[in-house]
Amino acid sequence: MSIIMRPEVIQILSAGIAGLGFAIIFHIRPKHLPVTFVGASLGWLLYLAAKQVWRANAIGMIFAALGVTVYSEIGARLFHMPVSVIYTPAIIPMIPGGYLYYCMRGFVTDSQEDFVEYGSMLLEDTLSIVLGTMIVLTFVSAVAQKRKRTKENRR
Amino acid sequence: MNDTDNRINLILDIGEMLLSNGADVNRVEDTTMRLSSAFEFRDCQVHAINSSIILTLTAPGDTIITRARRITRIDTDLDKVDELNDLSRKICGGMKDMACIGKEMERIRNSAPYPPFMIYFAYAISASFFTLFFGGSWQDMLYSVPIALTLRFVKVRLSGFNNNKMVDNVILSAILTFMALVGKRFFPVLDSDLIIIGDIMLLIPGLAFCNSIHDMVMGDTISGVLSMFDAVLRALSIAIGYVVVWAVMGRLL
Repeated sequence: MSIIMRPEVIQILSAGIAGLGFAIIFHIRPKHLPVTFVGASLGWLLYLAAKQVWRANAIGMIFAALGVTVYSEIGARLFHMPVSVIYTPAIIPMIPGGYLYYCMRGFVTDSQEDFVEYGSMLLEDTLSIVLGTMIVLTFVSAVAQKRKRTKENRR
Repeated sequence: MNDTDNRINLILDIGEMLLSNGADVNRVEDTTMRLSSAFEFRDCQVHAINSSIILTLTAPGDTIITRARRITRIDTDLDKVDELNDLSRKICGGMKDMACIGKEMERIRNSAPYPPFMIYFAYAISASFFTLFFGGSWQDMLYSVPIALTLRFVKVRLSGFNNNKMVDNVILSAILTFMALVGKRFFPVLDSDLIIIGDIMLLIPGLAFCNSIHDMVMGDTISGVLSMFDAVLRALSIAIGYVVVWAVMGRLL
């Protein structure tokens, strides 16, 4: 099987393209689209890699969210654009829409196991994204406040 | 209207436009503060949440002024956020000519980086590639496109007279479930689960979720909790639409 047809590669590329579609839906300017494509693909790439190394879904998600947040903080400063412009389309492929659906399906088909299993996975993924993002943002906001204080002291 | 009023209106216009186009609250407060000091107001206090901005400042001549703005609908147009960001940076950098700024505001308000058909196209692209992403075949990808186009069409129509995003989501998710189940009935090769997931991704409140994380970490717990609850409610309303249609169709098909 050629490398391009591997399911992982297809997933990474389709995450990127779907993120790109979202960038257009959010009216992000054409010149910023390549940055969002890379961000969305990067998130899923990191997820698959970290999941492979640690064999745990939650750690994969935390790493992916962490990587995307770092990427968007750096990208925002390099390309002079708001952080959310890079962050939001990149995080969207990671949002567990699949689990949300299977959880709902478990609910209507009266399948307790499905409802509980997918519901807890939904919660796990969501919390992991929040955690990964928080780790980076805490640092960013601490640095930003320190800088602000030194500026005020100088005045 | 005198000069002070004009300036305060401008500050609030920028804040309102930022908030109603999907900026996080932290950014709105920050920008409003910066603009106020750029226009030489003192003791600026601003409090923004998802649905309102309250601004109090001391104008030259020691008059204290308080204004509030109510924000009713939040749409997502991150390009406007980007442009307003540039504009406010220019104002802080010394661009103070009100006529010039007014012209710029008008341009940003009417700007659209993409024609409407591009948004339809983006809906189709996103839905079909999310279907592929979750493991769908090319037939599933193909069938998710007309659903995505319908969703966009209905969404545009709904925004004309309905201001409630929850109702929007119930209707949209009902339509998408209906179409996917009908498709499955006529083309058994399709996997209706994957088609629904691919299209549901279009309705998921991703921006509210992302903004709420940002707001909470940046110390704005009220706004963070509000956005998070908004995201949860909207996810629930997607579920309601799905459950209702499934309960009816599941018996018929």
